Order: sequence, then C-alpha cells, then structure tokens
Amino acid sequence: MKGLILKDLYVLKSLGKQFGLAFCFLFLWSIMMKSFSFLIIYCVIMCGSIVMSTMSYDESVSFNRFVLTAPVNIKMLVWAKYVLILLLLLATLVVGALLNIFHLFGAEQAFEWGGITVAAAIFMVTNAISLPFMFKFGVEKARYVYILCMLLVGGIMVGTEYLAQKSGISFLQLEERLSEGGINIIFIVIAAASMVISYFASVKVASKKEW
Amino acid sequence: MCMENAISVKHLIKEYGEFRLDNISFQVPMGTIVGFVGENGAGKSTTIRSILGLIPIQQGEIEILGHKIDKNEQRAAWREQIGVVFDECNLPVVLKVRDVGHIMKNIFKTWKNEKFTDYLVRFDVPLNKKIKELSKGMKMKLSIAIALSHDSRLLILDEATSGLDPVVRREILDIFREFIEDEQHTVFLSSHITSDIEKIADYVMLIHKGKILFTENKDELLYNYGVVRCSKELAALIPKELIVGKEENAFETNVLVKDIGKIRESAAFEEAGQGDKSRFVLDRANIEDILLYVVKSEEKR
Repeated sequence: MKGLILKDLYVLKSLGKQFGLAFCFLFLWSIMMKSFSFLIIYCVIMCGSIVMSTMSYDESVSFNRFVLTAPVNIKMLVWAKYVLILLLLLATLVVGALLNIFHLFGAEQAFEWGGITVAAAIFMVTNAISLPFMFKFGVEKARYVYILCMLLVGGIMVGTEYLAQKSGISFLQLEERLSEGGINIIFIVIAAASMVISYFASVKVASKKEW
Repeated sequence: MCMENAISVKHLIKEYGEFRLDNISFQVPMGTIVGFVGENGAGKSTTIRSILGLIPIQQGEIEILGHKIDKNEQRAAWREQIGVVFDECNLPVVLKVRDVGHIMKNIFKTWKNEKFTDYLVRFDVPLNKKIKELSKGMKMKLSIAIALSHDSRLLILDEATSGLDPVVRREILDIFREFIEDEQHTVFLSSHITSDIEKIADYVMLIHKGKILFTENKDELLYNYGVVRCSKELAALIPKELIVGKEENAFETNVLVKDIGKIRESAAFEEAGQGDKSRFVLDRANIEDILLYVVKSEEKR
C-alpha cells in the first residue's frame, strides 16, 4: 500500500504548481478578508478535487488494472485512497494550526475549530459518498455525485436550520447545551462513521468491478 | 506438452453480453514462449484478464505457477513472480521515469532497482523525463523493464508489441528470448501480429470467437502446413482430411493443407505432373496464412 500512496504523492508533486497557485490565491484572499478559517475551509474543499485528480490519472491509463496484477489486492487499492484523504486532511489542518500559532492574521482572527470541523466533516462525508461511485462508474461520472453531495450536505444543513427556526427550535440553545466541543464530536463521529461505511461499500463495488 | 505448467486453465467460461469464452482449456509449459493469436475481439484480452483474476468468471479453474487464482486472496506473494505488460503503459503520465523505481520498490518486495536502472539505460529510456514525454516505444520498454525488474518467472503480455515499429518490436522480442534462456522462465504473449509470434514462439495457440481452435508446436505447424495454389479441378483431388481451409477466386483456388508430405503423395500432385509449378504450387504456410484459413473455415461452419 505504501507504493500506492507514494504514487499518488508523486502525482501530487507533479501537480504542485497548479495546487500551489490555488493555495497562494486563497492565502492572499484570506489576508484581504482577514479570515483564517476561510483559507482552511477552502483548502479542505480543494483536498476533494486533489483525490479526484489522482483517481482520474489512474483511470486514464488503467493503473488499477496493472497494479492488481502485482502483489496488491482490492482492499489495499481502496484503502490507499482513504488513507490519502486522511493524509490530505491532516496536512491541511496542520497548515491551519501552524498559521494559527504564528497569529499571521492577528490574534483576533484566531483559528475557529468549530467551522473547520464542520468543513472537514462535510468534506469527509462528501468524499465518503462519492468514492464508491468513483470506483463503480469512474471519476467523470462521480464528479457530478461529488458536486451533488456538496450541495446536498450544505442544503441539508441550511434547510435544517431554517426548519428549526420556523419550528421555534433554537440552535443556539442546542449549542449551549452541547457546548462547541460536543458539536464537534458529533461531526467527527458522523464523518468517521461515513468513511468506515464508505470504505466497505467501495471494497464491495471494486471487488465486483471488471478491471 | 508435458512438464510443469506455468499456466493451467480448465473449462473457463466467461460471458460478456453476446460474447462468450466457451469452456476453454489450455496449458502454458514452463520454459517456453507461447504465442496467443486471434483476430481483434476473438477473446485474447478477456482470457488474459480472466487468468489474472481481473474479471470475475462464470466457471473454470485457473492456476498460475501452481497457485490457484482467487479474486479475494490477500496480498498474493506469488504475484511477485509474474510480470504483466498490457498494450499501453499503465502508469500516470505525469510521473517521472525515475519515480517509477521508488514506487515499484514499495509494491514489489523483490524489486531490484539496479536491474531496473540497467534496463532503462539499455533501452535508452531517459530517467528525468515524464512518462507523457516518452514515445510509445519508450513507454512499452518502460513497462517491460518494470515486468523484468522483480522476481518474475512468468511474463504475460497482452498486445504489448502492437503499435510499435519493427525495430523496437525486434528489440523487445530479443529481450523475451533472453528471458527464457534458462528454461525456468516463461512468456505468454498475445498478439495479432503473427510475424512476432512466428519469430519467437515455441507454441502457437489460436483463439476465435471465444474458442481455442488449436494449440500446436510452432515448428511442427510451419513444417507441416502448406498452401496449395492450383485450379479448382486439381483442388478437388486433394484428400478432404488434409484440407484445413480453402479460398476460391475466378483464377485459382488456394488451399491450406495440414500435411505437406501427404500432399506430395496425393492424386492432385500427380495429376499436376509431379508438382508442375505452373499448375500446382505448394508453399509453406506462415502463421498468418494458418490463422486466416482456419478462421475462415470456422466461419463457414
């Protein structure tokens, strides 16, 4: 599996200019907006397109067909993509934490863990839903699923808040009861559970696939 | 074909809509080069993907180097011993050639980076270039270098020489010949370029519409098969049991026969005046002739 992740990292290295430029642009924009969270949230979203790019490169040359003739099985193949997602997410959070430590945007614009956790959870749930589709139908078709998921998850959150407000349920009260840490834990649990379910679904889909 | 088999396939059935690999069985003896020929869509790639466990099959038993193929197996260590090359280079085009060695080192436990670098130098594949900057021939050489740089005892090649110029093809065929020199290594080569098979194969296996039509020793095949060019009347005198396929046009009849020796004793040969070259031409058949006539006669059936 190490070889598979290494391959993806080399692919990312070759795409470094594109993603580096995107990061610089977001970085400058964040400085202008004086929002730390903005940068990190967008980086988290960018991670999704990075994973899709690596899968797209694999698909265009039938890499998976080749590597499955080597001492690599379906579980390892699928697991490597999930590890890549977690590595990218971790890297983004580390960058965010480092920027936070150095108070680059001033202490008043400190890192908002709540917002970041929500963004990371949306990213993970979206990827969790999309990945089995990517293995089943390929990246091009699954891209639509990814966009749809983003809209759906965002829509559900906004819609829930709207409905709750209409019904007189206050999210603020809920937040006060659970505390920010509690809400973050709920998001982390949802994200982790979705990734676990997604992994097994991807393995099942990939096992039936004709490579 | 006695001796130990590198590949053994028994009663393989795979259905793809209207296409069907029809209960095929064959063996690839250790230490040989077996050429797998057939027209496009005959089932060569499906057979190879089936034996590699890349596609689920409806029925059949497949053994590679003595290991039963099971799609759900854990990290199969025996796969260290096979090198597979498809008709394209299967590595992301943005990778640099030198990165490939580092990646493969972490995929194959038996990876030998020095050997890989030696092959790249020998093949003139530049280490610093990205794969997308390589020519098709270079990409194939890279794929072959990968297949040869771990403990592979069996090379499985699916149309690996198609689309390459004759010089590169000859170079690649020479490498395969070197590979089997110690008789512990085996090559299973699928191709529709019959001249390649003719150059290097020990055995020829013909597939048509999902059925194996024959597996024969190449030298015996080339020694025994011939093409007779004669008139329709003389062709009618050729014993039917010797005729493999026939092609008629307004001027002459071409007949693929399977025993040249017996043809020389036949009534047709005598009638033509002991092989009068103007009336009865008997040439040795090449693999392409055999493929064409066998497929045509099979179509007529």
